[in-house]
Amino acid sequence: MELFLQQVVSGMVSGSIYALIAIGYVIIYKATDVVNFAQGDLVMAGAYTGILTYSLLSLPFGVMVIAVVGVGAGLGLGVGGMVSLMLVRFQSSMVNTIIVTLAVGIVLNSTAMLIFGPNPYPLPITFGKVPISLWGVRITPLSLVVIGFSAAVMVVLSGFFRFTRLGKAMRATAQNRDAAALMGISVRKMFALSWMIGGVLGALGGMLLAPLILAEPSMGIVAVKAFAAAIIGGFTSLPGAIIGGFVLGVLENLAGGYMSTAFKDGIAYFALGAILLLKPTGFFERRAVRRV
Amino acid sequence: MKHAKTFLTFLALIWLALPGLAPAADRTGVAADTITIGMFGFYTGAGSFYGTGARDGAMLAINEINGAGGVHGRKLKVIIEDDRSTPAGSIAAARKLIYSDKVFALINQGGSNPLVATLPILKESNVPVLGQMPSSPKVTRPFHRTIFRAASFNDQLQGWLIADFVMQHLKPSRVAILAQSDEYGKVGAQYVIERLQAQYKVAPVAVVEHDRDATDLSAQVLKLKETKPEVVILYTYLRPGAIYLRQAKELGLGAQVVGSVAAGQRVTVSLAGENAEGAMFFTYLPILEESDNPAMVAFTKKWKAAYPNVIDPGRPALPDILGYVATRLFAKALEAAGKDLTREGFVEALENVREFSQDGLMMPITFTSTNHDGMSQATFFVIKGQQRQMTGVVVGGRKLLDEINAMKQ
Repeated sequence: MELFLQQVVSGMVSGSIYALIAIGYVIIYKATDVVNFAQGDLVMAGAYTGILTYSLLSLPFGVMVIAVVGVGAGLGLGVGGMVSLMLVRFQSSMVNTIIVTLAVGIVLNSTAMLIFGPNPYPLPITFGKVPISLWGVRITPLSLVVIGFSAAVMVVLSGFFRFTRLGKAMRATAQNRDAAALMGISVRKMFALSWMIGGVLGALGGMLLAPLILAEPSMGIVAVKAFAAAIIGGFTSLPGAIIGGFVLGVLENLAGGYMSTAFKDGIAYFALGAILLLKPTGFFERRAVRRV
Repeated sequence: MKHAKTFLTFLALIWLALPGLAPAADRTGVAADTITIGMFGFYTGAGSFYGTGARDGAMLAINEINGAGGVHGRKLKVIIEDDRSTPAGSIAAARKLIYSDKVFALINQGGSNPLVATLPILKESNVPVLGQMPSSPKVTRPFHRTIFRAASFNDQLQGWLIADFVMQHLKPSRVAILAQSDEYGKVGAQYVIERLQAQYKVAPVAVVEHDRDATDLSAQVLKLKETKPEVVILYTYLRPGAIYLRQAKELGLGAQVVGSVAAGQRVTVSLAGENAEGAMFFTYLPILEESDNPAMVAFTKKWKAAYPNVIDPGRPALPDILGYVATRLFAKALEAAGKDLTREGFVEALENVREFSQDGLMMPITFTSTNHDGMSQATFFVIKGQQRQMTGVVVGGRKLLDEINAMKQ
């Protein structure tokens, strides 16, 4: 039982980060119908921003967080701006637009490689070295902070979308752009805000990941799992993305612990395929029914 | 008389045709003032730490050689291709360099996985290849005349030496292995297990794998912990090795760590921090990169002068040294092959390299006409107080390498 609980707790740590990044995908997609394939490289940018400010420049933790949020917002806006340019100004197809997000990701990746090189970098944040033991389950203060921070961000976002005017405006735009525009909501501003929030979530995910997995230019590949988590939850459902993230993290660990560690990563995608066979829209996506 | 004349005419014709019947000396890539060399490796992707280091070290050597006038008056012209740490990338890079760029010889700085996939093309083309990174035994066995491994260690020998070190110096009763699930990890682990069983009649209590790009090893650590090992042998790359060290500490797995050369680098100390305390790693550097040995200090100085914009404090590291030394060896063989440079002459010159170590920066490299694995000696370092210290234990030797080469393939 102890081993099972330990696997679950360890899985929740990575799951919380998948959830954070997955929400970024969903927010952007819900507002703009665009899948942001640069999300993984925004994660990487967040990690390196953390390393630059906290490790290399020895700035305080709070300054690091502000810098990461700023970089995430800026890059998110930048990618969103390019996407808008493609779709609106150049009337480009969705495929071309998605390729633009891929291209931005490659540019970010190459920039990180040029500046920092290929070596992994640590982000030495620990919040205490001694693991806490609860009912035989060990968890480090860092892991608790990662889960807690991710949960706090999700709660804040949830509150933002439910109780603030701006959040409601974003939800209205995601539901029906035309109606939102008729109600006086600036759809352009809502798009920009969505990209900004998506970028911030990706960058914060990277900042939390770096102490756990070390930063290197290719670390953005973790966003592929977050993408899978978003699909499991239903690609337009925020609660679904959160649950999808945690389910994927825990499933990976249990599969690795009880089946085969060699296929720990592969088994997660196998499960994704199985879930989609049973419920193609994901667990929380409601199929839109058009009455004629 | 008539038949004698016919016979003599026939002999004369044969004599005149003989030079045409002999295979022409292959001078592809050799011009009046340049020798074109192809260099390909994993400069991006999972192995980029090793590939870019080897490339930078190699280019430092190339620039030094060209600055001193080249080899017999010919400058070395290098064409570089990235294999992206993938077999498909390696095959494409090799094809381009061989058939499109028509290089004289190749330097490979890629991993075992990509290079093993490329071997059929390399063997078919008969272009001389000097491997600087790949460690798979398949690179040099079956033996092929034009393929050499200069500065990385044959995984079969490394696996045996790690097993020997663990059993002879640490003497555990319970040994477990954590290995990467690709060619590098699988093959290395296979030979560790083979040596443990054949020489010491010991079977590992657990053999656990992880994906090369894995970012969380908690499942693996928990699986190992269940078997209560005294020693865990890591056959893995740098980042998963550092992640293992952290997570093993977090999850209470206190086994002694002995790792392969890829996992134990200069930067491991900063990556794993206090979690690396007591961990031991295989290395083929007789002197550590951070030591104050005059040869290492001189190398570091010229490396930093060549790469002033590299901000990484962990460099130069082993891959940089490896690339530099192996390329110096490459140039020495070009020199020994003479002004009338041919591929055959270059291969012969490589086979005559004896005890090459470039100021003692690496363990000595020797090739023969039947053994193209250059290195056979290694040592181990231990991390104590966030510093690396040599253990002073030297392992290996040509006798063991010859034993491996004599084994049935």
